[in-house]
Amino acid sequence: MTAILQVKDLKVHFQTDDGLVKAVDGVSFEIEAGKTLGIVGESGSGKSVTSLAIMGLHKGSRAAVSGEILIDGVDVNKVTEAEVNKLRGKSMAMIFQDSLAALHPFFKVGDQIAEAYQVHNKVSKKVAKQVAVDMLGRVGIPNPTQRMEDFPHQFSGGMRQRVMIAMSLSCNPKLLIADEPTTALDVTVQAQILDLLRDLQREFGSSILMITHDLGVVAEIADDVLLMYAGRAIERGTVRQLLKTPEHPYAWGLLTSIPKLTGAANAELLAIPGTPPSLINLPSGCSFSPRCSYKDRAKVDCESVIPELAGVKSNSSHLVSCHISETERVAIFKSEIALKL
Amino acid sequence: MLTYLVRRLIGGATVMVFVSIFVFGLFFVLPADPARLACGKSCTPELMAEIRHALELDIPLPEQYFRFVKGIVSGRTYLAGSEAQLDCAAPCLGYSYQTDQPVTFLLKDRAPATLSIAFGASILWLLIGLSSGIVSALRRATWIDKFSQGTALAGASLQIYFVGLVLQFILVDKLGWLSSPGYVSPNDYPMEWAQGMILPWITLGFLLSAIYARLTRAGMIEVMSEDYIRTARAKGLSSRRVNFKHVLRAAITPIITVFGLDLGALLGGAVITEYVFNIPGLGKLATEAVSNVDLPVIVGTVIVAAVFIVIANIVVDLVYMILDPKVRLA
Repeated sequence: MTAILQVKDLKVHFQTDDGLVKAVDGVSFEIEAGKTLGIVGESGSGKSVTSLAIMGLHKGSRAAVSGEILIDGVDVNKVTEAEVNKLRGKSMAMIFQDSLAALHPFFKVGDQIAEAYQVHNKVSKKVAKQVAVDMLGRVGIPNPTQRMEDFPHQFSGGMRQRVMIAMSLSCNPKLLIADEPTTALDVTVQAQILDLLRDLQREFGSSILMITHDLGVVAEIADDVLLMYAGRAIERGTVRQLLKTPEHPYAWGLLTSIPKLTGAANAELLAIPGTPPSLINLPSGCSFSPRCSYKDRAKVDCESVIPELAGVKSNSSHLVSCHISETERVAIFKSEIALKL
Repeated sequence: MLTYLVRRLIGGATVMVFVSIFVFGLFFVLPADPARLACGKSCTPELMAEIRHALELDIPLPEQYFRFVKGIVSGRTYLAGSEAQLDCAAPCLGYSYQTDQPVTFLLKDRAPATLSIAFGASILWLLIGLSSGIVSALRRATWIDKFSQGTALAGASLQIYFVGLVLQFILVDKLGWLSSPGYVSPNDYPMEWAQGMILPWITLGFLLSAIYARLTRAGMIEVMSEDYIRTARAKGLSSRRVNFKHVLRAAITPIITVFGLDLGALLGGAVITEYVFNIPGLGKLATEAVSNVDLPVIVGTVIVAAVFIVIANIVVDLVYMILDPKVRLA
């Protein structure tokens, strides 16, 4: 398997008046051809900042980006904006959460899609417009020839997100980055969009990087999952590994906090104690340690040493960064967590 | 679209009715007696009574207002049936107390000078304002931005009668690059017309461009942080295309609105500019009329200015409908 995208030790820091914000602090991962990686984390965990860094969209801003972002043999982080422009749209494309804000309000959707196609293909406006009609049809918009002439605000949320998808796939990119594409949509429309993405992925053979805070979306669409917390990757593995045998106490907290339909009606909702740390004053050591209920089970001082992301013994593709020993974690999982899942 | 236009025209007409009532009221609210004003220096009670009759000030007020409006719409006849019968063709706004000329004639006579000023100055301020605003926005926090914004601040703070006179002193009196400002008909003497107009254009253009530079800069910077600009970049568009197509298209819309209203206001008379450069336009006509308490001329200039502003508002809204698709359906 070849990796479409390789990210190595990515750091994105913002200098602000209050101090240095370490939005992303040393994240590495890769995505293989045709696969879907879900990056999961709560607000401020650095998942969107990571996706913008891959698109090179921090260029020209105050962000300091370091590390390697390899796509098509090009390190996005090392080349100029003009060089990245050759990759944007063609090698990698992006869809955003709020499709109303993400589409230009003054241009017809057909023209916006045709423009995306024309950037990378030397064709006439007429041909590009035909491509736009074709793409709108493929993402399931009825009467594409007429809808071409409409403006973004004339579409419903779900239809607009389809327009976004049509635009992003117009140049058949190898990698599609979807930054919370379903968050602003109704649950039924959400399912339609996820189905559409999966069908199109099969058709176009693209890899997908799905940014979300919704574990349901991940379960639905991802092959692999990267769990982020306070700008760092804390667990990585297949969807099955993450959802069935999670290793990190944060993952335990997330999964046990999902309410059960089968439980008692008055069952207490479980929550992770505390709040996410400030990205300016990250706790020394493991950033999750102040909220971790199991840190006394570790043999290392969680509050002073940062744990490495390392493979678990049973399966080296499942990585976790935790000081608690694997045997201890298995014991905790069996005795306390498994029951609540 | 058509219903909208009709609705707006009716709205505009309503505004004009109120304006006409208001300015007509001027005749009677002011302590000055119109008949006394028209009577002149060697006035006798008999003469005044005669004038009162001639100006139709001796009939009931609603009737007077009706005749006033009728005069504008379809013309009116003073002293009908008598020997001194006076036909005033529509749009009739009466006769100047000072010169006895029809107000409509005076307005028509003075309008070209004001149009000339507005025409040249508006092109100039739009060009300077937009380009310096765009450069500022694209080169934010560089010396170009600071220079351009500093100039804009100076422009917005200074007054025409200061900048105008300084420029006139330097460019006309000291360097002799320009001839003295003034107005001649562009049909007869196009070169002289342009030469006489350059100084008013530059002065007014510079001062008003300041506001446009700031508006453009602020608008561009705001639009640059919009999500759809990030999308445009994510599509792989060159930064030139992102800035000049996507950013400018969104940023320019509100500027067009301000431009239309400024132009409308200016067409009613560039009062200070005309006064400073001694250009015989509508603004100068208005100031002269005010200082002479020449009521019919005051009324005429106010109505003309109001008409321009009402029309400018309607035009701006129609243009906005074309520029902003979201307004189209509303």
